[in-house]
Amino acid sequence: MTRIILLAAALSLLLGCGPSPQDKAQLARRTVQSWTATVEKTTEAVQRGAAPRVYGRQIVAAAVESRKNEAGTPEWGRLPAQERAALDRAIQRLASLLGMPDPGRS
Amino acid sequence: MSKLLKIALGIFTSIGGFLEVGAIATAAEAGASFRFQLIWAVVLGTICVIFLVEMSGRLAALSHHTIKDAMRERFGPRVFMLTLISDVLVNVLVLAAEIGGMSLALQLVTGIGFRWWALPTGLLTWLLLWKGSFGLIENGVSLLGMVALAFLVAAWKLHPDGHDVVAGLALTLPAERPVHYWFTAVSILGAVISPYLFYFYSSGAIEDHWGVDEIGVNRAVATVGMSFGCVLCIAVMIVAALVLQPAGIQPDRFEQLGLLLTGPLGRWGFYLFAATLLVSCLGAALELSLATAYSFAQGLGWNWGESVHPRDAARFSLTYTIMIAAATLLIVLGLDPLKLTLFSMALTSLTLPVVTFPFLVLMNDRDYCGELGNHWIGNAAVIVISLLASLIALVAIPLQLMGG
Amino acid sequence: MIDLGRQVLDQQLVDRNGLNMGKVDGIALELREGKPARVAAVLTGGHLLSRRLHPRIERWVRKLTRRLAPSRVEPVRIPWPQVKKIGVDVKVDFAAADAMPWEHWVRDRVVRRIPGA
Repeated sequence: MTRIILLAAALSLLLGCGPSPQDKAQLARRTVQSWTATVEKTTEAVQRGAAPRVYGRQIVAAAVESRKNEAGTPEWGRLPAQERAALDRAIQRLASLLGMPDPGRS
Repeated sequence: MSKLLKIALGIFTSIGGFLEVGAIATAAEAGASFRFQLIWAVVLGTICVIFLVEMSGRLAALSHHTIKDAMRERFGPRVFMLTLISDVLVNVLVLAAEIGGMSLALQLVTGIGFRWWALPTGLLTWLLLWKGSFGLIENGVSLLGMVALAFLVAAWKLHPDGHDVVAGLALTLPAERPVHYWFTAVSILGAVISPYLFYFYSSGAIEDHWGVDEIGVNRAVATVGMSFGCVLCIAVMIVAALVLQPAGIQPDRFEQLGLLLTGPLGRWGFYLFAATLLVSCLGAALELSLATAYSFAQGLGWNWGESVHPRDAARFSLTYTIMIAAATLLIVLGLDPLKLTLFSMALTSLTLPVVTFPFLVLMNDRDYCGELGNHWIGNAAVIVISLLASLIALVAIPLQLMGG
Repeated sequence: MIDLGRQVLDQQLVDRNGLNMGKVDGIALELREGKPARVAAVLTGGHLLSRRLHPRIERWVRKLTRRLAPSRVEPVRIPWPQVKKIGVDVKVDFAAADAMPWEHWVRDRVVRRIPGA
């Protein structure tokens, strides 16, 4: 009996330490900003020849997939619209630079 | 071979072996998220691993036993089996991470997805072992691993603030994201203090028939080699801190790490990063597979050896074959290499006491080390660091998994 | 004076050609009427190791061995007079080839089938 109580106490403590809604929202923002920066930095690198186009294409694919994963979360809708738009713009810019088909919007 | 040449070769192989997917990914993650704040973790891990590597060489030289061999003898089959199971579970995950690293290096350069590269890279690793003459391969691969010096060049070119770097040596608490901070810290510790490294080292010492005369060489190789590796690891963190962090890039996919060297080193940097990843992961994969097979062989009394023919050591060869196959399968199935790497490193930290405590008993046992057993400093350092790593991992891993 | 537990049990066995042939998994004592017990043989292989781990593991290993290779269930017995030297390892006057049925089994059934072996 005592074992169960201890386990329950430990679990609730651990669960209580989980991410709050504000933490989750902040994490989502950070992820979107991180990917926007990644795509922009890659665009700049491809333009000056520091990164090969094949790498640029991988970043587009990875960014699109990340966007898709984030869009599935509840935090996505609450993100500031201009940040989501910035990500879209960055991806489209890189995609068109590489001659890739339009990866769509979020 | 002259003593100086032996030392030089030992140092080069140590440097080459230090940096692999775990060290690269964890250092990059730390640099991008926390700038120089986690340098202390690399240094702490290096201190611990220097002690452990030196001990494993000394044990081999004095007792003519490898660690696993001595563990079975001294503690019996039950304790041995416990450490073996823990080894196998952790090693298969780390091996999968290394194969993932190689696969990603090839994806970066060719654009073909990493899952397609898992089978060829796994096969290459296996073939290099199956065909024997590993000694030659090991030296060759480790020397190629010097391509990792590109990180040193890049770090220097980025002109980090010396004060900030030195400040990172002290343990400071993070301003935000404490769970991620401590999870990254234990991942770094697990990446630096890799048990397979010193198991492999002790097996090599036995194969080279080390005796009391080699103790000095052993100490030099362990200290200098690991310290160089530590500097390289810190260089990766510095590059990530100055390239990724200012842009706000938090790597959650391996592809993002491709940007690390393109800033300071341009197009060359991109290919050097891929080359570093490929070569260092190959070296680590070979060592991991052998170390696991050695653990089985030395505890169960089989024939073993670097250059032994599969026909003459069938069970030994079968063991590493199964390990490589299982690890390759995990990547083919699509396990995320970056998450796998960070997690397997944290798991290594968690299980450190299981590995180090029996080892320390051996190092203080007169029957094995005679008068040249451990100094209290070595014992204390390893015990404290192992316990710390394990306890932090115990708390940080579940919290990180829950999305902290 | 030999400490059987420390110096013999779980030590590496080395055959007359210097090849590894397993670990000493057990020691057979001969009980004699009115006289002190005597070491009869060292034992290796079979189900001895699994028995020392846990009886359930031993049962499982026995079952598996019987299905795969019914002739390999019993441990190999090396009579004490054939134990030549006890030091870093235990050197015996025996041929490894006669003491490693599982090694041969793996070699013939698995390793031989893989190209390049």
